[in-house]
Amino acid sequence: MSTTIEASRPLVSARTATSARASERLWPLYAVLFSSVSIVVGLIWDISWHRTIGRDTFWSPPHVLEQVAAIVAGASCGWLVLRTTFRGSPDERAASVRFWGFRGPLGAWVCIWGTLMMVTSAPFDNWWHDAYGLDVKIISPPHMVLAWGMIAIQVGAMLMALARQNRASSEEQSRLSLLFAMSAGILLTMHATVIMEYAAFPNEMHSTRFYRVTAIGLPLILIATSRPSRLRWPATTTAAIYMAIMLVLMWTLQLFPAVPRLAPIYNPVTRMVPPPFPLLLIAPALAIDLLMRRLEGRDWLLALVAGLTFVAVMLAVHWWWAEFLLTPHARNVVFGADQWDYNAKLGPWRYQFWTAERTVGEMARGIGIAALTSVVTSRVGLWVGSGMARVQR
Amino acid sequence: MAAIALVTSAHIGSPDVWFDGLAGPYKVLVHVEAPPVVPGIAIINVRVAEPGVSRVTAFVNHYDATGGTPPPDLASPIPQSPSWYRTRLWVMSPGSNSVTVSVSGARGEGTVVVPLVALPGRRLQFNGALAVVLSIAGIVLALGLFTIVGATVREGVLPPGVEPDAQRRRRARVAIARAVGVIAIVLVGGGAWWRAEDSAFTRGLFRPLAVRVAVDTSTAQRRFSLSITDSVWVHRNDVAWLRARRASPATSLVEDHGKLMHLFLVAADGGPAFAHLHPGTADTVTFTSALPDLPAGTYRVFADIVHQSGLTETLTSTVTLTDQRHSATRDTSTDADDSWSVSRKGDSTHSVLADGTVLTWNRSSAPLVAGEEAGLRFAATPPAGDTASLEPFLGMAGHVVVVRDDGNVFIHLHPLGTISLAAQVRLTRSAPAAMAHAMTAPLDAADSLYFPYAFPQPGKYTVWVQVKRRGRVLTGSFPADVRSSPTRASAR
Repeated sequence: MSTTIEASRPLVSARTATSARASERLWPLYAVLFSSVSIVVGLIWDISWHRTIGRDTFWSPPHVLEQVAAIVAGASCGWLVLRTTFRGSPDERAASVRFWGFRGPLGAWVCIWGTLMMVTSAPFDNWWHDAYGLDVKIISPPHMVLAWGMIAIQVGAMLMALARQNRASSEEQSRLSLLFAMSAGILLTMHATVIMEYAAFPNEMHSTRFYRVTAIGLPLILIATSRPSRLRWPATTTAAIYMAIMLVLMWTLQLFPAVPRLAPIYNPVTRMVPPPFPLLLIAPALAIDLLMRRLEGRDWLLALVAGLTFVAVMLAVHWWWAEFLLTPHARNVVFGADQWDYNAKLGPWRYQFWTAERTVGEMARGIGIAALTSVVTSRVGLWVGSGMARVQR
Repeated sequence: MAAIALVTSAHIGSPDVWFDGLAGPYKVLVHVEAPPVVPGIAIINVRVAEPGVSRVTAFVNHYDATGGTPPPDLASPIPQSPSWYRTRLWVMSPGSNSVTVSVSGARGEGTVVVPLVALPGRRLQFNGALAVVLSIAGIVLALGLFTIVGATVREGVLPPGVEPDAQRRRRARVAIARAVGVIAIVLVGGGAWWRAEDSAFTRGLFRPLAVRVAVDTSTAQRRFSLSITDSVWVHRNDVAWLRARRASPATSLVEDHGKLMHLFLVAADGGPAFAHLHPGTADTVTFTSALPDLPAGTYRVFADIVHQSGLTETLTSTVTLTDQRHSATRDTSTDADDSWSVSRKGDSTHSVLADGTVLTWNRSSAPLVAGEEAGLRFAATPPAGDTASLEPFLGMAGHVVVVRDDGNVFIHLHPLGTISLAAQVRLTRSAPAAMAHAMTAPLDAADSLYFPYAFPQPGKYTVWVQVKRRGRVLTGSFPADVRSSPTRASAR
């Protein structure tokens, strides 16, 4: 955190008194952005931990990172709210919203809510493990409570960046736009991680389930965060940030030696199992950026075209990309393919497409559902994005 | 806090493992508190009652692991329990697991493998303090969310300093109403999801294989038959059938003490009738045995089998015997090791066996408590003038069968504990020296027998003890009244 305070110092000296005060208050934004990125890094690290080492405790390093993230978000926003309520300047109070007698920026309230949600999920998850056994899957009811807490912190961080961007002076504009894009990219990474069980491995990419699952949240996030952005290529930037985070983690994690500490071991791995190569979201994001510029003001048409284009580009790109990832050429550090959990019973399935549809009819139906979903979520994304463009506090 | 709604296990009502034997040069008593759910935590307790022990470790493994073993965990001395060591280990896969215990000390290192059957056997209710706390947290979170939604619409989109007008306030109320609707849908959907997960878990709870029992009275010698009718067993080699149901194949059966099945018939009315039979089979589906002369009545049927995986399982049923035939000769198909008893002589600590031997339960005056080591120590006093010692019966110095009178607890014990020797052999790959010793199953000094065990639940039990003298199998029994533990913690 000391680096973020130092980073904001040169800014202070160069600004007028009013904007200097505003810049000083950037540190809560940096703090929640730190939490936001820590959450997704901690989550991906934790998944890798479970796939490699297996055994964890409340105090395993990825869990500690998550806890630090929650504490930083909760404490910094809690402080911000108390300060705005009791010691805030008229400007600060004017740029806040009311909540049960207290005042604070909208994003801060969402972050605090997310922290409480994360805290609540802990005893629930513990009971769940006692009742049904340790769930070795990502999507379970208590994990969803936790995930919504995490996502809320990331949405809160995004809203804090967004409100600042939306009322920023022109000189602050580019920095705040980038911070907003950063927060959107982190949120996209989070979503891609949550759906990892269904839409991450190349073996899934010839199944329509991959396209149906990716059509739900990805176009929504890309479109909703593009609309209020002041960047020239907002969706592309967001997708690039997602891919960069995933690539850095994928390349880094597999450098660390680690061995399984839980039985049964069927696949004696010796290094951390990294997440699979990121989805090539930069391609549909580029198409979204172009379409949003071309069809500005015609939201229904834009939703239709962008929704269909999203699925079409995903299909065109990932169908062939998956075939490459299943070849021996991808089994290296760069592409990270063919790295499996310590408890995976290795077999020919590693190089096969899973649950692929058998007939052209089944395929067409599945892709049709994906396209319809994508159109609907694109429309929702435009609505949400229009609302986000108006956020001021 | 949370009530236990349903309890089953492969060993009927008695999931914990006890093992008394050798880990290399060290005599160890191992008590594994089985995990109630899988993946879950097993508590490993090890007693090494000798000086100079520097280190006790343990690890769990699944029977079919092919990629090596996990690193062992150090067991720490248990405060207030001298010579006991404890560690907690994750059991990740259901079915046949093993706990490998190693002891290091002045006499070098010794290792022993203890089989552990880990199966999800109980379902927790969501209630009590946790439910109250989480419900309150849920309400606060929901109210907080509604407030945030309202604040977003009312003020969030207004430039700083602008107060919301009446229209904006109305829109905020509409937004809150919508949020309430969305949260209601999420809660209903989440509840349905939870119920679906719960019923999937309940379906996946361990249940013994379905069996059908029958008595054939058409021949001179009545014959008892037990058929495993469970489709999981009948179709165990049908790959397509298993794949369609995502079922994992059951491994074939192996002999334990030289028998594929140990069948026990225990009078359901608490009476003295008891039989320990060894049915044969031609197809591993139907097991038949000549039926000894047991009095008419209803009998609980318990059949112990051991799978090649090391999984031990008790099949249960009941059978009603009507007529009683007194055939003078034993059927030639009767297993030579079959044994039964129809009468009881003695009191709560003494049992007079058929040849006049008196079996004494050397128990302390303290009451028996569920979850605490029961002290099943017996001494056999031969009739006056007889000097013959006890002989091994089915390779063991003695056999004990513990049955709660309602039939909800059943276990077949040996001096080496609750484990199956066949399962131990199957799961032991690297300690043949330790095994050779266990196989001979030496008798303790002076015809005394010790069976490590803790009654798992309170209630009225009958403890059946079988020993062999002069080639004859003798059966005695003792009533046991077990109280509930004031602190149902681990045994000790």
